[in-house]
Amino acid sequence: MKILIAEDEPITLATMEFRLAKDGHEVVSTDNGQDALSKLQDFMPDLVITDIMMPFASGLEVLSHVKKMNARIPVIVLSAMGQENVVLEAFTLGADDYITKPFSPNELALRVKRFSMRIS
Amino acid sequence: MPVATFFIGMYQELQRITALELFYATIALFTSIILGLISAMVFIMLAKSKQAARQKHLQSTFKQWLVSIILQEPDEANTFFSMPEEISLALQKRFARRALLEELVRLKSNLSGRAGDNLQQLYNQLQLHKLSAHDMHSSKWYLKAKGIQELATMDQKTYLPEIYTLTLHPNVQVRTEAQTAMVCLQGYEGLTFFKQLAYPLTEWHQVQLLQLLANQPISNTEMIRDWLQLPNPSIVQFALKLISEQHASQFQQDVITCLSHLEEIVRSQAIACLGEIPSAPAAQALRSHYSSESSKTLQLNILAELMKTGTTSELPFLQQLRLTPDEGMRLAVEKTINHLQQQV
Repeated sequence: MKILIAEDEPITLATMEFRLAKDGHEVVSTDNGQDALSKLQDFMPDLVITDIMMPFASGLEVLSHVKKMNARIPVIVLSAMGQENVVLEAFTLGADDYITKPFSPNELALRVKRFSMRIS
Repeated sequence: MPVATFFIGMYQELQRITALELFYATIALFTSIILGLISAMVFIMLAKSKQAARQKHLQSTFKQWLVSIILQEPDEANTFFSMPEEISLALQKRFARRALLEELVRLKSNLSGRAGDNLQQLYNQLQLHKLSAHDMHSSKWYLKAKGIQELATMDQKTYLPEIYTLTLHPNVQVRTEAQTAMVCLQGYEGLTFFKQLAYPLTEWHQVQLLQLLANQPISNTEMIRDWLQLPNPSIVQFALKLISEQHASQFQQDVITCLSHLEEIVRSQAIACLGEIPSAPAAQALRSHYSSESSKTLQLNILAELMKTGTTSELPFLQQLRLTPDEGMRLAVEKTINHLQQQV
């Protein structure tokens, strides 16, 4: 499965990238929202994982762009604790799932697996 | 006398200076000040960029190593993480150890489960708690707060007694950080400092504590009842907010008692709390309290709560209030009656 990850914390990003690549996924990552928006067109991912708080363009902007582009691409939103309102907004915009930080990379891998099975 | 002679001599010399010479001297003085400032700025900027470059280099050195540690599975995990020589050498410098500590704390707030455990294990292995404790013992409040936060994030329970004493610190930032740390490390049990706390809990800090306790149901009811009796009104307010958040109806009678509290802030919170644990006795208590309430704002709050949770049984009480001389109150009463009748 082709996965695009957008997260501004470099080691967390590398951890997710490494963990999902280990499961055989093709992963492209970026540390800001604006770059994620441009990579969407080129990479055409099957799944998008995005943090909410990012420089240049927020995760919500990435989410709404993905859903405008192709509503069938699932989006997992990463949010910090206490961002319940933002998570609700993300669901209104069409988010398919969310994970609250701190999160376990293994849990993320399991959730991705669920989407992978659904897509295949 | 030689001093007086010196000053007289100076005065005579100054009188000999022409206006043009004074002008040049002033220009020279200002130019040297500006040049000095520019040099200082350049020096600071160079130092900062050198530090940023060093930080960036360290970050990239740590990156792959940390990712491999984070993703180590339980069967692979040893009690001791191996370290590449380059990192081992780098960590001999205090600057690098600080950079790694900050990285670990940042990552720990992003990652949990096995990944979080591995980060904590690495923190313990490198004895980075010594750096955090050093900060906690600093005389600067911001270093103290930083050290406390690091120890709490890394679950360093051995420092609990020291953190406990800081919960009563006169500096508000240090105090709130220590109080948050106590809750992070011990949950409800960490709030034992309430009994000694004379300072108020700010609204923002109350929200933070409530957020930390959100997923932990109240287990010790006596502890909450004790908080409701404490002389610090902000703690009573916090306890009432906690009861509201958790919809803990077992405290209904205690909340009703708070309606007669001397502090308006507590009475206001008790009214809101009864709205979150609605029942016939709660509505009855609000109705009875209405006439004895001295604050008009709180009377309006009671009407708002009755509108939210009341039933038609409130209508006779509300009909009586229609005769109140205050126009604003009458309007609120009419709104409440109208709302309750619409529900029927």
